[in-house]
Amino acid sequence: MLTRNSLLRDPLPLLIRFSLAAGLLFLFREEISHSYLALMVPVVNGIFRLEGLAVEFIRQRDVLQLVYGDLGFRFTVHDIIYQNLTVGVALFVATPGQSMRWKAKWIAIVIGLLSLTHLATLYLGGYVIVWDYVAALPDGERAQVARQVLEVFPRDRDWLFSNIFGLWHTWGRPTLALLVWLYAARDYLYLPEEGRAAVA
Amino acid sequence: MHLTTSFIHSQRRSLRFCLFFVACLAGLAVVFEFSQSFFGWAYMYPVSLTAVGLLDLMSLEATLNTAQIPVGFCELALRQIIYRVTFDCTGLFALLVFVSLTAAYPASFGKKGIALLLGIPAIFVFSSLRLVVLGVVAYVEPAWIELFHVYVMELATLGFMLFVWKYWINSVCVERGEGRC
Repeated sequence: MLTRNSLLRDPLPLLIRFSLAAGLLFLFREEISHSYLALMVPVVNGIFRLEGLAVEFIRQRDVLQLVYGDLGFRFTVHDIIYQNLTVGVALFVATPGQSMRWKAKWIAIVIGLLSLTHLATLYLGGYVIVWDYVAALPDGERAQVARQVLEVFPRDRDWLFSNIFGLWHTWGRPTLALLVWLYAARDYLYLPEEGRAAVA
Repeated sequence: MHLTTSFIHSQRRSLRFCLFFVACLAGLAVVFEFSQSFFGWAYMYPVSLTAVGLLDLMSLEATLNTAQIPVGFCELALRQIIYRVTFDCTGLFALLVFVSLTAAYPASFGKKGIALLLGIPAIFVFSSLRLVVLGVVAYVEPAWIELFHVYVMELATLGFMLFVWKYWINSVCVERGEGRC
């Protein structure tokens, strides 16, 4: 049953290592953010250009801004999209009993996967943020601004993109790194052989 | 094609676990999206109330306004500061992930019941403490609240949830008599 030994054997080291790894990454969060966004922003700006949208992310020191050239809007946005990178990296660093090679391989895989989702998030953000802004305007101003916005950002994508964005933010973003870890760390998690599963 | 089939065959237990986990979490997400008021009263309210009680014990006078629970938040007032408690703040998503992980893991129903009896109260208490920490941070250094809310406490909650879950896995494993445990 629930013994002191089973508690101490590896859940506690996992927690301690995870906390240390996440804490260390936390100390360097600004440097990580700057470097990571320096890689992501040109790619997503390139996608906007391919679509012919006059939208771009601009990094100014510690601030990430979303600038709508034709519309004259400029929004300051969160620059912490890399947070689940911390989760992913810390989980693999913290997993006991695995080689450095295993950790490096899976950290590269999780960073690659999460980067794709971050690009998608930044791209969807270009649509969702301007619609959220329009929706938050007072009734008198909304109609006029909405007309300008709808010329560039078609309304039919509003519902879809906003819902994808919202669901991903709540459910997908924190889960993906965990899911990759669950698969990679299957031995550590004692996912049993078929016969043992039947006994259990 | 043959390689894919062979890969799936060789990895089917872990793939089945991952797929079952995603399915359980998706199911809980749907339930949550359609019954936020229930989760508000059944989880957010008691967690927030416990946090208020703990803050009072620390001589930090706190009050709770529950009028907005049906729309997904309540207001915790700590002296001059009003703190909006959302589902994100209460660790609910970590709890639902824990439930999904437990449901997906190959173990008997009895063992899964033990996991829920162990994990739900543990995460409940941790989430109340999380609100207390956020309340104290909001009171002592309001500029740090965003950092603690979005980063520090999120990671702490995930780490704690995995700690409880791994603790339970080891107990399952011990019962199976697997030497590795």
